[in-house]
Amino acid sequence: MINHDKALKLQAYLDNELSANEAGQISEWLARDDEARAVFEELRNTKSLISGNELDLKVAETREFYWSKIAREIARPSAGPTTAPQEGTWRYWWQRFAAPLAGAALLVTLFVFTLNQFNGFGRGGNSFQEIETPFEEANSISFHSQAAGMTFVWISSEDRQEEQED
Amino acid sequence: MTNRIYSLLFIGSLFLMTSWAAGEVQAGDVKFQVALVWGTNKEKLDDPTLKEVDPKLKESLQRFLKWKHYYEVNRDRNKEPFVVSDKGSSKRKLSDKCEIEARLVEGRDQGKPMVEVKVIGEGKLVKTVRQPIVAKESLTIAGDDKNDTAWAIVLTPK
Repeated sequence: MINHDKALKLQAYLDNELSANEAGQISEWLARDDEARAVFEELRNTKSLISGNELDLKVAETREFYWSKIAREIARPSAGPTTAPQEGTWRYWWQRFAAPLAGAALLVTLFVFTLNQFNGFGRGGNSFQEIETPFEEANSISFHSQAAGMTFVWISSEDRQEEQED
Repeated sequence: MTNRIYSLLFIGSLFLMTSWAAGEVQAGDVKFQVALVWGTNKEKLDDPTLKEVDPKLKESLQRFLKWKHYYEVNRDRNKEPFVVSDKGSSKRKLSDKCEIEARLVEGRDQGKPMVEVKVIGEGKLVKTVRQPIVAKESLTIAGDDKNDTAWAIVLTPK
């Protein structure tokens, strides 16, 4: 059984990455060891299979133009480091307090709007509308239409209701 | 980048608060445009001085009322703005039989002003309505009348 290190040596031999001395040792080893030779053959087959079937990618542009694009991108000046505002300037204070200020303003706005909705006294809210009718025979109903921008109070007298019923 | 988002949030919140505050009318004198409207299904009128209300008001009234035609009574006389204050009542005679008396009163909602409108018909108090004042929102007090007609008093803050 060939261990991992020896297998790596075989791979390096296959890729011509060994010194002449090491290559000679491996060559001798392969001549006397059948198992090593089998592993080496398998590695060689795998290598030829991979390199022989590699997809041939073709770029639409010429080689020079393709590389010139890359060179231009490398040469393009990057957005320089942002200069931090100096302490004491309004920009410095704004950068420092923008987040808490925005958060606080948003919270206050939400709080006010929620409160308005809850109490019903916001825009168009008419829950505090009061209607007094001195005559017992007069009934009234009121409603509000945001679409019409109107609060409507309808007074209906009982005489009239009886008239309609008759 | 994040700072820009925070700035936008801050400005947006301020804008919302300002627009909300602008919608609330502050105490003091408030001017209203008043109209006495008569609703009917009649195609021909006996009184030629009656003029049809503007189409926008007609559309609003038709959301609530069933009548086909809406005519304004004494439009020329009611052209002048009706000034309502918290210092005393203001009266406006809208027709021979109908008049209104109004003043600003402190509302129950954190002292925000309300308009108190007393509708007086043939010298008798018919109704008192107190309504919070909201910019650009009308208050309409209406009722039925003889011969399947209706009357409506429309107060629009100016």
